[in-house]
Amino acid sequence: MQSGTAADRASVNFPSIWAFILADCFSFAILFTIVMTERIGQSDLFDKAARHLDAQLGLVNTLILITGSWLVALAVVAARRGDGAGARKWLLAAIAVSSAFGAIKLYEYSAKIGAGFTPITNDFFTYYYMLTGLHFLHYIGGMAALIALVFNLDFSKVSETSVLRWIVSVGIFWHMVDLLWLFIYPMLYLLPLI
Amino acid sequence: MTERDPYRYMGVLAWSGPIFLLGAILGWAVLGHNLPPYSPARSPEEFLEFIQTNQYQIQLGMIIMMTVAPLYLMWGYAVTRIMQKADAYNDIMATLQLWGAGFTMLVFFVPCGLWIGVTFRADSMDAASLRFMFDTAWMFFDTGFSPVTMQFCAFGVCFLSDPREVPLMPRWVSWLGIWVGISFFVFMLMPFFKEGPLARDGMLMFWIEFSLFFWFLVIACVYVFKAIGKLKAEHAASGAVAA
Repeated sequence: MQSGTAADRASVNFPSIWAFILADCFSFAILFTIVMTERIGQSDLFDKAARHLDAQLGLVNTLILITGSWLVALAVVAARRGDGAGARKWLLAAIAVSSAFGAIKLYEYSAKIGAGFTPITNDFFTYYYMLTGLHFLHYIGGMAALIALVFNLDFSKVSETSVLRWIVSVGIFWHMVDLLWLFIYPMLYLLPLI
Repeated sequence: MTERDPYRYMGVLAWSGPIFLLGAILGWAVLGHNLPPYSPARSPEEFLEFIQTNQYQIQLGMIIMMTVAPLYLMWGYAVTRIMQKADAYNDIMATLQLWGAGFTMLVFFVPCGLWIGVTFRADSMDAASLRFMFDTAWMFFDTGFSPVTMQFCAFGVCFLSDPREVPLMPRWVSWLGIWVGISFFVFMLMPFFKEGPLARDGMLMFWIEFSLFFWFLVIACVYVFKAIGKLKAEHAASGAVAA
Protein backbone atom coordinates (compact mmCIF):
# COMPACT_ATOMS: atom_id res chain seq x y z
CA MET A 1 0.00 0.00 0.00
CA GLN A 2 1.53 3.25 -1.12
CA SER A 3 1.37 5.89 1.58
CA GLY A 4 2.96 9.21 2.52
CA THR A 5 2.63 12.76 1.28
CA ALA A 6 1.71 13.83 -2.23
CA ALA A 7 5.41 14.51 -2.87
CA ASP A 8 6.26 10.97 -1.74
CA ARG A 9 3.66 9.50 -4.07
CA ALA A 10 4.92 11.64 -6.95
CA SER A 11 8.49 10.46 -6.32
CA VAL A 12 7.31 6.84 -6.64
CA ASN A 13 4.97 7.35 -9.60
CA PHE A 14 7.45 9.53 -11.49
CA PRO A 15 10.87 8.80 -9.97
CA SER A 16 13.86 10.98 -10.82
CA ILE A 17 15.51 8.14 -12.73
CA TRP A 18 13.45 9.36 -15.69
CA ALA A 19 16.11 12.05 -16.17
CA PHE A 20 18.63 9.25 -16.76
CA ILE A 21 16.22 7.23 -18.93
CA LEU A 22 15.32 10.15 -21.21
CA ALA A 23 18.97 11.16 -21.64
CA ASP A 24 19.99 7.57 -22.37
CA CYS A 25 17.18 7.00 -24.87
CA PHE A 26 18.17 10.24 -26.58
CA SER A 27 21.77 9.07 -26.99
CA PHE A 28 20.68 5.65 -28.28
CA ALA A 29 18.30 7.36 -30.74
CA ILE A 30 21.31 9.22 -32.14
CA LEU A 31 23.31 5.98 -32.36
CA PHE A 32 20.42 4.26 -34.14
CA THR A 33 20.20 7.16 -36.60
CA ILE A 34 23.93 6.93 -37.29
CA VAL A 35 23.76 3.17 -37.89
CA MET A 36 20.73 3.43 -40.18
CA THR A 37 22.33 6.29 -42.12
CA GLU A 38 25.49 4.20 -42.60
CA ARG A 39 23.30 1.29 -43.63
CA ILE A 40 21.68 3.32 -46.41
CA GLY A 41 25.13 4.16 -47.77
CA GLN A 42 26.42 0.56 -47.61
CA SER A 43 23.27 -1.55 -47.81
CA ASP A 44 24.92 -4.44 -49.73
CA LEU A 45 27.76 -4.77 -47.22
CA PHE A 46 25.39 -4.52 -44.25
CA ASP A 47 22.98 -7.12 -45.69
CA LYS A 48 25.77 -9.54 -46.54
CA ALA A 49 27.54 -9.16 -43.19
CA ALA A 50 24.32 -9.38 -41.16
CA ARG A 51 23.62 -12.84 -42.58
CA HIS A 52 26.52 -14.07 -40.44
CA LEU A 53 24.47 -13.25 -37.31
CA ASP A 54 22.23 -15.88 -35.77
CA ALA A 55 18.71 -14.42 -35.90
CA GLN A 56 17.28 -17.38 -33.97
CA LEU A 57 19.63 -16.79 -31.04
CA GLY A 58 18.65 -13.14 -31.22
CA LEU A 59 14.99 -14.14 -31.05
CA VAL A 60 15.65 -16.33 -27.99
CA ASN A 61 17.38 -13.37 -26.33
CA THR A 62 14.43 -11.13 -27.19
CA LEU A 63 12.02 -13.57 -25.53
CA ILE A 64 14.30 -13.83 -22.48
CA LEU A 65 14.40 -10.04 -22.04
CA ILE A 66 10.63 -9.70 -22.49
CA THR A 67 10.03 -12.44 -19.92
CA GLY A 68 12.50 -10.78 -17.55
CA SER A 69 10.68 -7.47 -17.92
CA TRP A 70 7.35 -9.15 -17.23
CA LEU A 71 8.76 -10.68 -14.03
CA VAL A 72 10.14 -7.30 -12.93
CA ALA A 73 6.72 -5.75 -13.61
CA LEU A 74 5.15 -8.42 -11.38
CA ALA A 75 7.68 -7.50 -8.66
CA VAL A 76 6.67 -3.83 -8.89
CA VAL A 77 2.98 -4.75 -8.70
CA ALA A 78 3.66 -6.90 -5.61
CA ALA A 79 5.69 -4.09 -4.02
CA ARG A 80 2.92 -1.56 -4.63
CA ARG A 81 0.53 -4.02 -2.91
CA GLY A 82 2.88 -4.05 0.09
CA ASP A 83 3.86 -7.68 -0.55
CA GLY A 84 7.62 -7.50 0.09
CA ALA A 85 8.22 -11.27 0.03
CA GLY A 86 6.37 -11.53 -3.29
CA ALA A 87 8.35 -8.65 -4.79
CA ARG A 88 11.64 -10.28 -3.77
CA LYS A 89 10.53 -13.62 -5.23
CA TRP A 90 9.64 -12.06 -8.62
CA LEU A 91 12.93 -10.16 -8.69
CA LEU A 92 14.86 -13.38 -8.06
CA ALA A 93 12.94 -15.03 -10.89
CA ALA A 94 13.75 -12.08 -13.17
CA ILE A 95 17.47 -12.39 -12.35
CA ALA A 96 17.43 -16.15 -13.01
CA VAL A 97 15.67 -15.80 -16.38
CA SER A 98 17.59 -12.73 -17.53
CA SER A 99 20.99 -14.23 -16.74
CA ALA A 100 20.45 -16.47 -19.79
CA PHE A 101 20.64 -13.36 -21.99
CA GLY A 102 24.20 -12.68 -20.79
CA ALA A 103 25.27 -16.29 -21.31
CA ILE A 104 23.87 -16.37 -24.86
CA LYS A 105 25.37 -13.00 -25.74
CA LEU A 106 28.81 -14.06 -24.52
CA TYR A 107 28.50 -17.29 -26.52
CA GLU A 108 27.50 -15.25 -29.57
CA TYR A 109 30.46 -12.88 -29.16
CA SER A 110 32.94 -15.76 -28.77
CA ALA A 111 31.46 -17.58 -31.80
CA LYS A 112 31.71 -14.44 -33.95
CA ILE A 113 35.26 -13.65 -32.85
CA GLY A 114 36.21 -17.30 -33.33
CA ALA A 115 34.87 -17.12 -36.91
CA GLY A 116 36.98 -14.03 -37.54
CA PHE A 117 34.29 -11.35 -37.25
CA THR A 118 35.76 -8.63 -35.03
CA PRO A 119 34.99 -4.89 -34.65
CA ILE A 120 37.51 -4.11 -37.41
CA THR A 121 36.22 -6.67 -39.93
CA ASN A 122 33.98 -4.11 -41.64
CA ASP A 123 31.65 -1.21 -40.80
CA PHE A 124 28.70 -3.52 -40.08
CA PHE A 125 30.59 -5.44 -37.41
CA THR A 126 32.00 -2.22 -35.97
CA TYR A 127 28.45 -1.00 -35.42
CA TYR A 128 27.27 -4.47 -34.34
CA TYR A 129 29.83 -4.62 -31.54
CA MET A 130 29.26 -0.96 -30.68
CA LEU A 131 25.46 -1.19 -30.34
CA THR A 132 25.28 -4.62 -28.72
CA GLY A 133 28.30 -3.79 -26.52
CA LEU A 134 26.74 -0.59 -25.18
CA HIS A 135 23.48 -2.46 -24.69
CA PHE A 136 25.37 -5.24 -22.89
CA LEU A 137 26.89 -2.65 -20.52
CA HIS A 138 23.34 -1.51 -19.72
CA TYR A 139 22.30 -5.13 -19.22
CA ILE A 140 25.18 -5.67 -16.75
CA GLY A 141 24.21 -2.46 -14.92
CA GLY A 142 20.59 -3.59 -14.77
CA MET A 143 21.48 -7.07 -13.51
CA ALA A 144 23.77 -5.54 -10.87
CA ALA A 145 20.92 -3.26 -9.78
CA LEU A 146 18.45 -6.18 -9.59
CA ILE A 147 20.93 -8.24 -7.54
CA ALA A 148 21.65 -5.26 -5.27
CA LEU A 149 17.91 -4.84 -4.68
CA VAL A 150 17.39 -8.50 -3.79
CA PHE A 151 20.29 -8.68 -1.35
CA ASN A 152 20.42 -5.16 0.10
CA LEU A 153 16.85 -3.89 0.23
CA ASP A 154 14.75 -4.39 3.36
CA PHE A 155 11.63 -5.91 1.76
CA SER A 156 9.77 -5.83 5.09
CA LYS A 157 9.63 -2.04 4.62
CA VAL A 158 8.35 -2.19 1.06
CA SER A 159 5.50 0.22 1.89
CA GLU A 160 8.00 2.96 2.68
CA THR A 161 8.46 5.46 -0.12
CA SER A 162 12.26 5.15 -0.30
CA VAL A 163 12.13 1.34 -0.64
CA LEU A 164 9.29 1.35 -3.16
CA ARG A 165 11.01 4.09 -5.16
CA TRP A 166 14.13 1.93 -5.58
CA ILE A 167 12.10 -1.02 -6.85
CA VAL A 168 10.13 1.16 -9.30
CA SER A 169 13.31 2.94 -10.48
CA VAL A 170 15.21 -0.29 -11.16
CA GLY A 171 12.10 -1.66 -12.85
CA ILE A 172 11.96 1.33 -15.20
CA PHE A 173 15.67 0.93 -15.99
CA TRP A 174 15.19 -2.76 -16.74
CA HIS A 175 12.32 -2.00 -19.12
CA MET A 176 14.62 0.43 -20.94
CA VAL A 177 17.23 -2.35 -21.37
CA ASP A 178 14.44 -4.45 -22.88
CA LEU A 179 13.16 -1.61 -25.08
CA LEU A 180 16.61 -0.84 -26.50
CA TRP A 181 17.05 -4.47 -27.49
CA LEU A 182 13.68 -4.38 -29.27
CA PHE A 183 15.20 -1.74 -31.57
CA ILE A 184 18.65 -3.35 -31.87
CA TYR A 185 17.41 -6.84 -32.76
CA PRO A 186 15.45 -5.96 -35.92
CA MET A 187 17.99 -3.31 -36.94
CA LEU A 188 20.97 -5.69 -36.91
CA TYR A 189 19.52 -9.19 -37.22
CA LEU A 190 16.24 -8.96 -39.14
CA LEU A 191 16.57 -6.20 -41.75
CA PRO A 192 18.71 -8.29 -44.16
CA LEU A 193 16.15 -11.12 -44.00
CA ILE A 194 13.33 -8.92 -45.31
CA MET B 1 31.73 34.89 13.99
CA THR B 2 33.56 34.52 10.67
CA GLU B 3 36.48 32.71 12.35
CA ARG B 4 34.13 29.78 12.99
CA ASP B 5 32.48 29.85 9.59
CA PRO B 6 32.89 26.35 8.04
CA TYR B 7 31.96 27.77 4.61
CA ARG B 8 34.48 30.61 4.57
CA TYR B 9 36.40 29.47 1.44
CA MET B 10 33.54 27.66 -0.25
CA GLY B 11 32.66 30.63 -2.46
CA VAL B 12 36.20 30.69 -3.88
CA LEU B 13 36.10 26.94 -4.51
CA ALA B 14 32.66 27.14 -6.13
CA TRP B 15 33.74 29.98 -8.46
CA SER B 16 36.71 27.85 -9.57
CA GLY B 17 34.27 25.79 -11.67
CA PRO B 18 32.91 28.60 -13.88
CA ILE B 19 36.39 30.18 -14.19
CA PHE B 20 37.81 26.80 -15.26
CA LEU B 21 35.04 26.49 -17.84
CA LEU B 22 35.74 29.94 -19.28
CA GLY B 23 39.48 29.20 -19.41
CA ALA B 24 38.91 25.84 -21.09
CA ILE B 25 36.56 27.31 -23.69
CA LEU B 26 38.87 30.21 -24.48
CA GLY B 27 42.18 28.34 -24.24
CA TRP B 28 41.53 24.76 -25.26
CA ALA B 29 38.53 25.20 -27.57
CA VAL B 30 38.89 28.60 -29.28
CA LEU B 31 42.65 29.37 -29.28
CA GLY B 32 43.49 25.66 -29.45
CA HIS B 33 41.41 25.29 -32.64
CA ASN B 34 39.38 22.46 -31.16
CA LEU B 35 35.91 23.54 -32.31
CA PRO B 36 35.87 20.86 -33.75
CA PRO B 37 39.28 19.18 -33.32
CA TYR B 38 41.58 18.67 -36.28
CA SER B 39 40.46 15.66 -38.31
CA PRO B 40 42.55 12.49 -37.89
CA ALA B 41 41.73 11.56 -41.49
CA ARG B 42 43.83 14.32 -43.09
CA SER B 43 47.37 13.82 -44.39
CA PRO B 44 50.54 14.55 -42.37
CA GLU B 45 51.41 17.37 -44.77
CA GLU B 46 48.03 19.05 -44.28
CA PHE B 47 48.46 18.59 -40.54
CA LEU B 48 51.91 20.24 -40.59
CA GLU B 49 50.52 23.23 -42.46
CA PHE B 50 47.69 23.52 -39.92
CA ILE B 51 50.13 23.46 -36.98
CA GLN B 52 52.58 25.92 -38.53
CA THR B 53 49.77 28.34 -39.43
CA ASN B 54 48.24 28.30 -35.95
CA GLN B 55 51.37 27.58 -33.87
CA TYR B 56 51.26 30.52 -31.46
CA GLN B 57 47.50 30.47 -30.92
CA ILE B 58 47.58 26.77 -30.04
CA GLN B 59 50.55 27.27 -27.71
CA LEU B 60 48.82 30.13 -25.90
CA GLY B 61 45.55 28.19 -25.70
CA MET B 62 47.16 25.11 -24.19
CA ILE B 63 49.15 27.21 -21.71
CA ILE B 64 45.85 28.79 -20.58
CA MET B 65 44.26 25.34 -20.28
CA MET B 66 47.14 23.99 -18.17
CA THR B 67 47.03 27.09 -15.98
CA VAL B 68 43.32 26.79 -15.21
CA ALA B 69 43.38 22.97 -14.82
CA PRO B 70 43.90 23.05 -11.00
CA LEU B 71 40.68 25.07 -10.71
CA TYR B 72 38.85 21.88 -11.68
CA LEU B 73 40.30 20.13 -8.64
CA MET B 74 39.36 23.10 -6.44
CA TRP B 75 35.79 22.96 -7.71
CA GLY B 76 35.81 19.19 -7.12
CA TYR B 77 36.78 19.86 -3.52
CA ALA B 78 33.79 22.21 -3.12
CA VAL B 79 31.57 19.38 -4.41
CA THR B 80 33.18 16.94 -1.98
CA ARG B 81 32.48 19.25 0.97
CA ILE B 82 28.81 19.45 -0.06
CA MET B 83 28.68 15.66 -0.52
CA GLN B 84 30.02 15.22 3.01
CA LYS B 85 27.01 17.19 4.22
CA ALA B 86 24.58 15.28 1.98
CA ASP B 87 25.69 11.94 3.46
CA ALA B 88 27.11 12.88 6.84
CA TYR B 89 27.79 9.29 7.95
CA ASN B 90 29.70 7.97 4.96
CA ASP B 91 32.22 9.97 2.93
CA ILE B 92 33.36 7.19 0.58
CA MET B 93 31.59 8.66 -2.45
CA ALA B 94 32.75 12.16 -1.51
CA THR B 95 36.37 10.95 -1.40
CA LEU B 96 36.04 9.05 -4.70
CA GLN B 97 34.60 12.17 -6.31
CA LEU B 98 37.61 14.20 -5.19
CA TRP B 99 40.11 11.63 -6.47
CA GLY B 100 38.17 11.54 -9.74
CA ALA B 101 38.45 15.33 -10.03
CA GLY B 102 42.18 15.12 -9.28
CA PHE B 103 42.91 12.52 -11.93
CA THR B 104 40.67 14.32 -14.44
CA MET B 105 42.86 17.36 -13.86
CA LEU B 106 45.83 15.27 -15.03
CA VAL B 107 43.92 14.47 -18.22
CA PHE B 108 43.88 18.23 -18.87
CA PHE B 109 47.61 18.59 -18.11
CA VAL B 110 49.33 15.79 -20.01
CA PRO B 111 47.71 16.07 -23.48
CA CYS B 112 47.98 19.87 -23.41
CA GLY B 113 51.69 19.53 -22.64
CA LEU B 114 52.07 17.21 -25.62
CA TRP B 115 50.19 19.63 -27.89
CA ILE B 116 52.52 22.43 -26.80
CA GLY B 117 55.43 20.11 -27.64
CA VAL B 118 53.97 19.54 -31.13
CA THR B 119 53.81 23.28 -31.82
CA PHE B 120 57.25 23.85 -30.24
CA ARG B 121 58.98 21.55 -32.76
CA ALA B 122 56.73 22.27 -35.75
CA ASP B 123 59.63 23.86 -37.65
CA SER B 124 62.10 20.98 -37.32
CA MET B 125 60.28 17.62 -36.95
CA ASP B 126 58.76 15.61 -39.77
CA ALA B 127 55.01 15.82 -40.32
CA ALA B 128 54.23 12.15 -39.58
CA SER B 129 56.02 12.22 -36.20
CA LEU B 130 54.27 15.45 -35.22
CA ARG B 131 50.89 14.04 -36.18
CA PHE B 132 51.66 10.89 -34.15
CA MET B 133 52.35 13.04 -31.06
CA PHE B 134 49.20 15.06 -31.68
CA ASP B 135 47.11 11.85 -32.03
CA THR B 136 48.68 10.33 -28.90
CA ALA B 137 47.58 13.36 -26.90
CA TRP B 138 44.05 12.89 -28.21
CA MET B 139 44.06 9.22 -27.21
CA PHE B 140 44.97 10.27 -23.67
CA PHE B 141 42.40 13.07 -23.69
CA ASP B 142 39.37 11.07 -24.89
CA THR B 143 40.17 7.47 -24.01
CA GLY B 144 41.22 8.54 -20.50
CA PHE B 145 37.56 9.10 -19.62
CA SER B 146 37.40 6.70 -16.66
CA PRO B 147 38.44 9.14 -13.87
CA VAL B 148 35.65 11.55 -14.80
CA THR B 149 33.20 8.64 -15.07
CA MET B 150 34.14 7.65 -11.52
CA GLN B 151 33.81 11.27 -10.39
CA PHE B 152 30.37 11.88 -11.90
CA CYS B 153 28.98 8.51 -10.79
CA ALA B 154 30.17 9.08 -7.20
CA PHE B 155 28.59 12.55 -7.38
CA GLY B 156 25.23 11.12 -8.43
CA VAL B 157 25.16 8.13 -6.09
CA CYS B 158 26.02 10.26 -3.05
CA PHE B 159 23.47 13.00 -3.71
CA LEU B 160 20.74 10.42 -4.41
CA SER B 161 21.22 9.16 -0.85
CA ASP B 162 20.70 12.64 0.65
CA PRO B 163 17.92 12.07 3.23
CA ARG B 164 16.70 15.70 3.17
CA GLU B 165 13.13 16.26 2.03
CA VAL B 166 14.54 18.81 -0.42
CA PRO B 167 17.98 17.35 -1.28
CA LEU B 168 21.06 19.57 -1.59
CA MET B 169 21.33 18.51 -5.23
CA PRO B 170 18.13 17.91 -7.23
CA ARG B 171 17.69 14.23 -7.96
CA TRP B 172 17.50 14.83 -11.73
CA VAL B 173 20.95 16.46 -11.59
CA SER B 174 22.28 13.42 -9.69
CA TRP B 175 20.89 11.03 -12.31
CA LEU B 176 22.17 13.26 -15.09
CA GLY B 177 25.65 13.05 -13.54
CA ILE B 178 25.50 9.26 -13.48
CA TRP B 179 24.27 9.15 -17.07
CA VAL B 180 26.91 11.57 -18.36
CA GLY B 181 29.62 9.58 -16.54
CA ILE B 182 28.43 6.28 -17.99
CA SER B 183 27.85 7.72 -21.46
CA PHE B 184 31.58 8.50 -21.65
CA PHE B 185 32.10 4.78 -22.30
CA VAL B 186 31.45 5.74 -25.94
CA PHE B 187 34.98 7.21 -25.91
CA MET B 188 36.24 3.61 -25.95
CA LEU B 189 35.27 3.59 -29.64
CA MET B 190 37.27 6.67 -30.60
CA PRO B 191 40.57 4.90 -31.43
CA PHE B 192 38.79 2.73 -34.02
CA PHE B 193 37.60 5.59 -36.24
CA LYS B 194 39.47 8.17 -38.31
CA GLU B 195 36.36 9.64 -39.93
CA GLY B 196 32.62 9.69 -39.50
CA PRO B 197 30.45 10.37 -36.45
CA LEU B 198 32.63 8.28 -34.13
CA ALA B 199 35.96 9.89 -35.03
CA ARG B 200 37.29 12.39 -32.48
CA ASP B 201 35.93 15.30 -34.54
CA GLY B 202 32.70 13.50 -35.44
CA MET B 203 29.15 14.54 -34.70
CA LEU B 204 28.56 11.96 -31.98
CA MET B 205 32.03 11.80 -30.46
CA PHE B 206 32.71 15.53 -30.24
CA TRP B 207 29.54 17.61 -30.62
CA ILE B 208 27.41 15.35 -28.44
CA GLU B 209 29.56 13.11 -26.25
CA PHE B 210 32.47 15.42 -25.57
CA SER B 211 30.29 18.49 -25.12
CA LEU B 212 28.28 16.65 -22.46
CA PHE B 213 31.18 17.20 -20.05
CA PHE B 214 30.88 20.96 -20.45
CA TRP B 215 27.07 21.06 -20.36
CA PHE B 216 26.94 18.95 -17.22
CA LEU B 217 29.62 21.11 -15.61
CA VAL B 218 27.53 24.23 -16.31
CA ILE B 219 24.48 22.64 -14.67
CA ALA B 220 26.50 21.28 -11.73
CA CYS B 221 28.19 24.67 -11.17
CA VAL B 222 24.80 26.37 -10.84
CA TYR B 223 23.52 23.79 -8.37
CA VAL B 224 26.78 23.82 -6.37
CA PHE B 225 26.17 27.52 -5.69
CA LYS B 226 22.57 26.75 -4.69
CA ALA B 227 23.68 23.88 -2.42
CA ILE B 228 26.19 26.12 -0.65
CA GLY B 229 23.39 28.64 -0.08
CA LYS B 230 21.21 25.90 1.45
CA LEU B 231 24.05 24.69 3.69
CA LYS B 232 24.76 28.23 4.89
CA ALA B 233 21.06 28.65 5.70
CA GLU B 234 21.06 25.31 7.58
CA HIS B 235 24.16 26.40 9.49
CA ALA B 236 22.65 29.77 10.37
CA ALA B 237 19.41 28.09 11.51
CA SER B 238 21.28 25.57 13.68
CA GLY B 239 23.24 28.47 15.22
CA ALA B 240 20.01 30.31 15.95
CA VAL B 241 18.56 27.20 17.62
CA ALA B 242 21.75 26.70 19.67
CA ALA B 243 21.66 30.33 20.75
